[in-house]
Amino acid sequence: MNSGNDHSPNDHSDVEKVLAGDVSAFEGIVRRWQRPLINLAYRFCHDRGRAEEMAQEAFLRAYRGLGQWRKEAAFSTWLFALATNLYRSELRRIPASAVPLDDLPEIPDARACDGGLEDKDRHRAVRHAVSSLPAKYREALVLFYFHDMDVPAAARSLGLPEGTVKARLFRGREILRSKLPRLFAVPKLKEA
Amino acid sequence: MSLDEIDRILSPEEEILPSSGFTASVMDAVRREAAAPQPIPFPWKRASPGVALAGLAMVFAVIIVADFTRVIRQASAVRVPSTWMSALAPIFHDPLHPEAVWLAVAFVVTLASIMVSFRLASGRA
Repeated sequence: MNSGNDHSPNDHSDVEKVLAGDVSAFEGIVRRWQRPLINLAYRFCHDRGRAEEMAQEAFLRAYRGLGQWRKEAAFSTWLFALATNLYRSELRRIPASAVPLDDLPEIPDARACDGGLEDKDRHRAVRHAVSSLPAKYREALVLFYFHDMDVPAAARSLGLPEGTVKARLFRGREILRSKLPRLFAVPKLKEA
Repeated sequence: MSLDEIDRILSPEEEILPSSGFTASVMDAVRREAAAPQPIPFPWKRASPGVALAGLAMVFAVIIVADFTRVIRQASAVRVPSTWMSALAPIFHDPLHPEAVWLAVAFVVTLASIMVSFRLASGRA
């Protein structure tokens, strides 16, 4: 996922124009950042419609707070931090539907391939498990993978020290590892 | 399940594309926001006399309550009143009683500050 700094000069000039009163210049910012912002929201809520609503609200807040962007940090850093804060508080207000880890259903026919499940089912089960984690671990994991496993970027988006994010990542992945084998267990065949 | 496998599964998560009307929808909301009138700031300058009067009234009220409590205590040391009303009675029966004057002053100051605030708020000052 591109969360980098490639658009910096364009962002800079568009922000200047918007602050000078040219509202239409904000469209450039929306076009450049809509995809990452919607995808980040989607990773939090796994609901396409809601992801777009949350991303729209993030853009509105960015527009309102554009003057607060201190230009020594990249625009993307500021925008992702703003969006992450919004998404986190939105999900605290109305949580995404998630099944508790211990209640995740056993997936039928666990012998489908290489002694486990089909890839699609495995992926779905792992994502379900992530969305069932306690918020602080889930947020760290979502941001870590969204930023291509870049801990400093995840830490900046969360507004937390890198050490805290590393600790949460470690704990979150340990919980996943301990909970997931149950889902992929191959049922023992009855002896004839 | 190993951590590498978890990493492998979570990294290439499916990417969704914005719907076709997303940009337009955001820009509509932004234009509405830009067209909306700026919120009117609270008129602190005009309200400051009212605020100061209210503060003074508050100080007076605290002094009066403290004084009043002292009087009640003194009265109950002499005789135990059967009710609050019997404790208040001497104050209101004697118009020259200093506590009654303080109460009246507090009442007038409070009323005046409320009226000034209302006038300022309605823009008739």
